[in-house]
Amino acid sequence: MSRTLTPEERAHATEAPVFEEMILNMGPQHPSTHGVLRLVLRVSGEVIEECKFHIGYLHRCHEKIAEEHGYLGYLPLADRLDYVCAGPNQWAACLAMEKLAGIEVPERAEYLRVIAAELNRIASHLLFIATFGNDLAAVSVFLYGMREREMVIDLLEALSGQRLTYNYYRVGGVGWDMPEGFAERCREVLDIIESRLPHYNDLFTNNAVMRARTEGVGVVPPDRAIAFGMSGPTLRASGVPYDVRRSDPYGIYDRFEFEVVVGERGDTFDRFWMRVREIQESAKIIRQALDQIPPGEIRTKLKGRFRPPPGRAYGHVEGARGDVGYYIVSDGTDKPYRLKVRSPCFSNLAGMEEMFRGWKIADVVAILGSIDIVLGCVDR
Amino acid sequence: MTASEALDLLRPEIEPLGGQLAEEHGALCITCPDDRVPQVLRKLRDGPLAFDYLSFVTAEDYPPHTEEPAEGEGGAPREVPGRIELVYHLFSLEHRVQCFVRTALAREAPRIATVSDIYPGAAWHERETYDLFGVVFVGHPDLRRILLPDYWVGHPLRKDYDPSQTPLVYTPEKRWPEVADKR
Repeated sequence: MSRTLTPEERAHATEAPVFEEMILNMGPQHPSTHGVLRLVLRVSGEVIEECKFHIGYLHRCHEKIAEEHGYLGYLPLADRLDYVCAGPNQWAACLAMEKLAGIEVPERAEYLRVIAAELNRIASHLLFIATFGNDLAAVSVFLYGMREREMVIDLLEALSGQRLTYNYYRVGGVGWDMPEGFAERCREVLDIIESRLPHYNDLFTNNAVMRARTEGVGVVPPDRAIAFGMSGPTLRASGVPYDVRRSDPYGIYDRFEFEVVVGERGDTFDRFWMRVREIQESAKIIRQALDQIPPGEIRTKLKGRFRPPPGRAYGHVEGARGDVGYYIVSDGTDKPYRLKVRSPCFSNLAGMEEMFRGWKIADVVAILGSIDIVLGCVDR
Repeated sequence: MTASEALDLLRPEIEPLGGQLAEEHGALCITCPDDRVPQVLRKLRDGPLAFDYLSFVTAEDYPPHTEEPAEGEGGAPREVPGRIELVYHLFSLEHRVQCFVRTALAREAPRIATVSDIYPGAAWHERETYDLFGVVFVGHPDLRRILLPDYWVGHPLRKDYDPSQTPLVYTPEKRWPEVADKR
């Protein structure tokens, strides 16, 4: 026999439920933090009131190591900064060193740099699509993204002998020339990837569950994005057309036709969509570079040990995650007096702390996945 | 816009605040006294060039040293006191100009006002500078170590940093004495 409620009990039952506040720890070992990131969330029921990030688990003392090992000794480590998109990090470091020493880069090397960086961007964005699918429990997308990325990585291997951290950039040029048949294979791979993007859209982008979990979720207003120094697709999704390739052109990017893709709403879906669009833009750049590439030298020979004259220089490039920069102070020896890495992920993550407020715990995974962090890049 | 155009445009705004302007590798470079940094940054952000984007904040450490007199000039060697130089890198998204703002602090107990109220993104960069150089940012909302653990002793990017100050927590001798004995 069921018991009838007392009047007090009934009054309590019709009130809005009172949630106790709770501190929830996520990470540092958590599959959706893409590395070792610890989040401390103060939640009321399912709703996040406050979020704090704890970083530094992957701090590898890049800046201290550079001071100890010298310019050229540090360069291979620059690859490991953001190991998913390795080339642009090295490019930024080379750019700063070349500015310091006043070294010119041969024409052919400039083209090879662009080709490697854009291939790397495609590989990185494909990995993003893959892992973002995985974060939202669309595991099949993970498999397809990885399959396509493999082809791009094979191209990088053909170019340099290595697959992920391929140490291709040198002060004054690049390490190796294109092997025979590279251009043809490159065009083939780009065609294959572009022909497969519509399939991804059918499978994942236009999936109702994916849309429901991303559209309107985790909106980053453009003024906050700028104030926090966000960059890359995360900033452009909020409608700010800041792309170092256009805003502060380096290398030979002013010779290529491409569109700086910007979003409208700045939500999680836009941040995802930016990357899909950027794959097409990168493919466009690589095709133009392959058409225009002139024959010639691939590296300016350095005379003796590399000892740039005393001074300061800053070089920054557009990596897959945004504006990656190197600020170097030289005292005239073969070791930098000070080397500072400006990492895009660090600033992108700093701005996200307040963006989580008011969203639910399940949204954290989607929002965090959408800024495409690499903890190696955050912690340096 | 080029750096020299920007320099002419900003000179009347920055010079009354005690800032000196120069051009370096195509970027604008402003040196100013440490107590004027928040004012200068606010001027730059709200001024005609709208430097709305703070890329990073960092420091350079120069320990005290003795400078030998230049050749041909007589005199005793000169004592140069140590200093920490702070660097703020700004970018104007609209006008596409880079700007460095530099200032020097005393090396012993360096303190400076925070700029995280002007650029919210500076908060983490200042925490990093505190962590690695020991610069205290007055008025910072949450000045804790960011990259290193809280128990760390010293500031590693200072030139006189001694790594042995920080006790290693997980030495095998302490945790597994039987393993340590066998070695």
